[in-house]
This record gives sequence, C-alpha cells and structure tokens, in this order.
Amino acid sequence: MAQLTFLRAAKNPRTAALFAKETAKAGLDRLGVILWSSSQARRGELARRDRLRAAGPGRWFIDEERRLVRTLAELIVPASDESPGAQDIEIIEPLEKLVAGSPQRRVLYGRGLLAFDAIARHEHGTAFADLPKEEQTRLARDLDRRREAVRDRSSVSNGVRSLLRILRYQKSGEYAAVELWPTLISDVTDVFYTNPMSWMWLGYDGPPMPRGYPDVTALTDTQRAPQDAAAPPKPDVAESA
Amino acid sequence: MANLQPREESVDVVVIGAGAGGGVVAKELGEAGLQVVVLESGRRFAPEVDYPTDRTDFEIAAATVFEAEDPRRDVHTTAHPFDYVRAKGVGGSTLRYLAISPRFHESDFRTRSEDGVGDDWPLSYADLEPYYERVEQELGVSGPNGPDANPFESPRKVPFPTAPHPFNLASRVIRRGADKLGLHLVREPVAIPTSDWNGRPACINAGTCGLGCRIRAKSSIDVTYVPKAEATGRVEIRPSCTAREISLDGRGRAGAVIYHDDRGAEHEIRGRAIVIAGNAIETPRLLLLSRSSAFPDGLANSSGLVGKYFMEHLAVFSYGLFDERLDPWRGIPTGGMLQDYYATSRANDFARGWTTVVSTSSHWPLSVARRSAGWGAEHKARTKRLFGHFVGLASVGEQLPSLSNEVTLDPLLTDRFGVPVPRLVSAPRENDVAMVRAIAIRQAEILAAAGATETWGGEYSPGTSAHYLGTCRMGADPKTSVVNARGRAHDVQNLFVADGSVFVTGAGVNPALTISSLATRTAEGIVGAFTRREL
Repeated sequence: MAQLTFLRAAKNPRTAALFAKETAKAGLDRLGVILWSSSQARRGELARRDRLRAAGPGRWFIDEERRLVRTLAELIVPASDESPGAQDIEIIEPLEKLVAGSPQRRVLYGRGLLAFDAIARHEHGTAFADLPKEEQTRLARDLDRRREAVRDRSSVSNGVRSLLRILRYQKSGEYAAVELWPTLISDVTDVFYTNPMSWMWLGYDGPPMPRGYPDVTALTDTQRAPQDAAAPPKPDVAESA
Repeated sequence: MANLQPREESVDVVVIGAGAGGGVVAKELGEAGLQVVVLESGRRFAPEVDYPTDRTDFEIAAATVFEAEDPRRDVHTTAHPFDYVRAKGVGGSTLRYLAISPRFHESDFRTRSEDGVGDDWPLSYADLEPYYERVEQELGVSGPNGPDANPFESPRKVPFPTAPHPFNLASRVIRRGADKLGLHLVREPVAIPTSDWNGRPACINAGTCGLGCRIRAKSSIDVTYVPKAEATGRVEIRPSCTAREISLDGRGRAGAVIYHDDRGAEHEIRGRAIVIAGNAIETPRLLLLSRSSAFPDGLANSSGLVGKYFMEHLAVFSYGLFDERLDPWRGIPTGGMLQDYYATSRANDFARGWTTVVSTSSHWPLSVARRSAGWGAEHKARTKRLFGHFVGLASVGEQLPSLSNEVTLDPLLTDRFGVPVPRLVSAPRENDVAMVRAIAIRQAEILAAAGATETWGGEYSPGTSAHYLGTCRMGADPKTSVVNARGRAHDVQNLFVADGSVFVTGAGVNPALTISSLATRTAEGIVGAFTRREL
C-alpha cells in the first residue's frame, strides 16, 4: 500500500514533497524512540514507575511525579503576596485526570517527568523538586531555549542543525523534557485560569451561563464567581482506561 | 457502489446541508407541501446538554464541541496558508457564528458597472429586499432604527424586528474614538433577538454565541428554521449523512444522491429536485466528484467554472489596551459596527471596501492568558494587565473574485470514506493586499483616537473569516456562470445551489443573512417549478 502511495505521489512534485516530509517525520519519530530506549536505566526506571501507578479513574501519577508536577506548576504560575498561584488551587487532580484520559499525554508526561529529574540529577545530583527555585527556573529557561533551537528551520543549515540537536537530545534523554515543557505550561495555564481563585484575582464574574449579564455596563461583581458555576463532570472509568 | 444498501427511496426534493442555505430551503419547501429529506454530514446538537458554558472550565469544554469526532472527516489541503474554519451539524456554520446580519449594499450587486472590478450579479438589491425582510422576521434580527440607524445602510421598508443590543463599556470607548474621527459607530444588526421571539427567550448577554447558545436565544438555523421545517411533517433531517455523488437519471437530469451514513454504509435517495447547500467548498467538491459521460468535468460544469472564483473575506483584527476597566465579556461578542470605509473611494489605491465591528469576543480569563506566550511571574503580570482592559476591532474586507483562487479535488488525499478531499487555492491578490494595508491603518487610527495606550495586530489571517464564497457563481450566461439568478444550474434543470457558492462577489459584510435570503428566493423558484410541472 505504501509503495502504491509512493508511486502515485511520485507523479506529482507537490504530493511527492508532502509524502517525503511525512515519511521523514515518521522515520525521525521512530529513530527518536530507538535512541530514547537505548538507555537501559531509562527503560528500567519507566517500567518501575509504570508498576507503581495508581489504579482507578483519573489517577495516574506516582508520588514523586506528583511532587515534581506541583513544583513545575508553581514555576509556571507562581504565587505572590498580591496574587494566587498554582500552590493555592487543586492543581494535581485536574492535571492527573487529563493525563489519565489521554494515551498521548501518558507517554509525554511519563518520559518527560523522568527527563526533568534526569537533567537535575545529571547537573546537580538531586531531584528537580529539591533544587533551589532559582536553579529550577534556570533549567526551565534552558528548555525554552532548546525548544526554540530545535524549532528553527529558517534555512537548510538550521534545519540540519535542528535535526542533529533532536537526535542528540533524544540520545541523552532530555528531549522528552523539551517536548513536555510547552504542553505542561499549557495544561497548568488551563487549570489555573479556569479556577475561580484566579477569577477573583482578575476580577471576572463568570461563568457566562446561566445568568448572563443583565447590565452590560456594570463592572465586575467578583462575589458571584464561584457560586453559580457547574463543576466539571467527574471522570468515568472509560476515560481513564 | 459495492456497499450500496438495497433500500430505494424517492422524495420530492433532496437537500444536501442543513445550514443557512439548506435549512431555509427545507422549511420553505416543506411549508409549500413538498416532501423533503435533508442530508447533513454533521450531528444534531442539543444546546442545553452540549454547550457547557455554565461550567468553570467552559473555555476548554465548550471550545471543542464543534470539532469533528473523527479528524479524517474534515481533511483538506491548501496551496497557501489558509485556516479552514467550519462547523458541521444541523444548523451548519450558524451553530457557531456570531449572528452578525447586515444586508448587502446596493452597490454590491453591480461592482463591474460601478467600479470596473468583479462582476455584476444577475439580480439587484431591490430584487432581494423582500427576502431579506422575510429572513429578518424569522430570525428576529435586532438592530437600530430611526436616528440611531446606520447612515450607510441600504433602503429598508420595515424596521428591524427587535430593538438593538445596548453598548457595553468596551463599545463606548471605541465609539469615543470613532466620534473624534467623525466616523459612525452604530449598533450592528444581529440575529440575536433582544425580546422573546417565536417561542425562544431574549438574549441574556452571556456572550457565548461562538460556543453555541445554551438557551437558544441566538437565531441559529437549528433553533429557527429547522423546527419549523420538521413541524410541517414533510421534512426529515438526517444527521451524520454525507453526500458523495449525484448521479444522473436516464434523461440526463440529477437523479439521485449517493451518501454515506456515519458507519460508512452507502445509501441512495432519489429526488425530483436536488438542492446542494454544503458551503462554497463542499458544494463544488460534490459537483466535481459527480462525473459522468455527460459531465466528464463534474456535474453542471460545462462552463468549467465549478470551483472557480473562490472568495473569502479579508479578516483583519487589531487590538487596543486601555487604562480603564472595560469588562468586554458582558454582552454579545460584537459591540458596534462602522461602514464609513465601505464604498469605493477614488483616494484609495484599491476598489471596494470593508465593514469594521467592535470585537468583544473571547475576553474570558483563559482566553486572555493564552494570548501571551511564556510562563512565570511575567506571564501572570501581562495577563493581569490585559484582562478587562483591551478590546478588538475586526474588519471584513471584500476580496475580489479571481480566477486563480479555486476549490479543486486533491489528487492524492482522501477522507474517511475514500473520497478525494478538497484542495483550496486562496491567496490575496493586488487589490486585496492594498485593502488589508488600509484596513490596518484605519483600525490603528480608531484605537489611538479612543485612547489606547498600546495597539497590536493589523494582519490578515487567511481563512479565519470563515466566510467562504463563490465557486458556483450565478449569472445569466451559461458560459460565464454555473447557476441562474434563482440558483438553478444552467446545465441540469432540476439541480439547485443554495449556499454562499452562488455569490458573484463577496461584498464587505458577513454573508449569512444574504445566503438565507437567496435560499428563500431559490426555494420560491423551486416551488414555482413544481407548480408549473417542470420538476
């Protein structure tokens, strides 16, 4: 079938290019898995964690992952004297539910969290969550830079450099952290800004339904926020399967 | 055909698509006494159940409601960057539209005569005016009358059915800027009644129109025309049924529609007339897929123009940050309209013009947080600074029809049923590029005059207008058009098109009201043809 597709694609330069790109991406992904799996220690540690995973709807993290996720979430949305942060809301439960319900996220989080600790241990000999806040921030900024570097395809030479970087990071295992970091930022942001605690800080009197806004020229009545909201549904068994 | 089911059915009319065109046609034909089956590729939504805008996580939960359950459903390819935005379901794109419902201007029907660009339509504003009136009544369109009316509006014989929405604080700030510049910011017509209408409640200013209206106040087709169609007892809506081909009968007329149900099984249904209303991308796709010895290049395509002259609107967004608190989320997602730049001006280096609306859409906490990249204390500070303090301007500019912009069949990719997917070729041409530049400048002027301390945006985002037009243009000459002024195919006398495909030019306003008005006129023509025993 693939051969037939290739033959059809080869007749059209545009589709041939598309086909080549897709094939190259699939090949790179496969190579990445091989390189990541080349470390017996990594494979063993992931297997150990998988054996410890909690059973039940919406549960997936092991204790040390929960601790690390909480630490990372507090970097992403830090609290201050004037404003709440991830530490002030229930952050783990909704994130865990999200991960438990998504096979792609389970792979991303499983390997990525492992990589965060591996980087910390490699550079400082300790788990990420035990590092001083300044060092955690520095490592996270490093991931931002690495992410930018591997996304730079602005020229052929940059594209080749990006490819080589990806392979190197795959081999060292840190690519999993590079991949997880933007997803984690997005997931934590989602959880924080859909929590009434952040709404009160911002001055938002939602959700929009069922009351709407009888007076569109009024300014926010922050007292209404939490009372009227319907809670998200509880996870069901199928979701966490 | 190997999977074809043995069931054979025949009705008066088969309608393909249940949106702003097909839903309207179905209701009009049903009320006229015809038996109608509507094939809709999307599912049916139950607003009170499916639109979770009462939850704290509504920005996540409600944002994906209209996404395809099977991502292979909406596969397409593009030649240029183009974001194909759509909702499939009973109600079509009106499920998530913001219901902005202005009429076309008189000049929109004769751009060739007036400005030497595009082409003239085979009908005038006066021809369409009675149908605009009927649709506005059905939808309970709200808008300003008397001294508050839009000074640029086309002549109307009756006032808007319901009173205009009030301006919120964000709109008032923009009006402050418009007033300084001598512009005319007025309340835009919207198909969101401000008083109870046809058994539906008045709008409660929740602002969730783009996420689906949980209380059915927004006049989407699924809560307006579709219930009336079904109430006739002669219209059957079939959700999750996707047309793949129209076959000919022995007399060279459109005989039957072959379609897939959601399990992939093929069915066939015969109609004495067939109406296609899939949108300006799916409609030409279906015609191009329907090849035969009589129509080797696609059904009703002797002109070679099926799929040609693909247009959208030039969507340009700008934003301004203000020191004062605006709370833009209160009220419907648009907050006023100005058409001072609508008409062609000799001072411009382009023809035609645009409409600008105040955009108060998606100003909720997570939507605002997502506007800034990054994380940490800086990201939080930026979110706090933006929240409740900025407002947008959204313009839709008239993209001129170009033969180079088209919808074709992709030679390689197929969808979940093995059917070739549409390939979209859409790029802004010289006139479009000049207009986009001008729109950005005017938007920045308005925001500055209103007192914005920071502005951003001003870029054209291809495809994001979600207004897809052309591709089966109407006209009097079968050599230069696909359908006539009633939406009837020149080549196939029992085949009709009733969506944005028939537009000759796109005008500079949101098209849904005009699509529904043209569909009403097309339905009237079909009823006439049945009465005359032509069908």
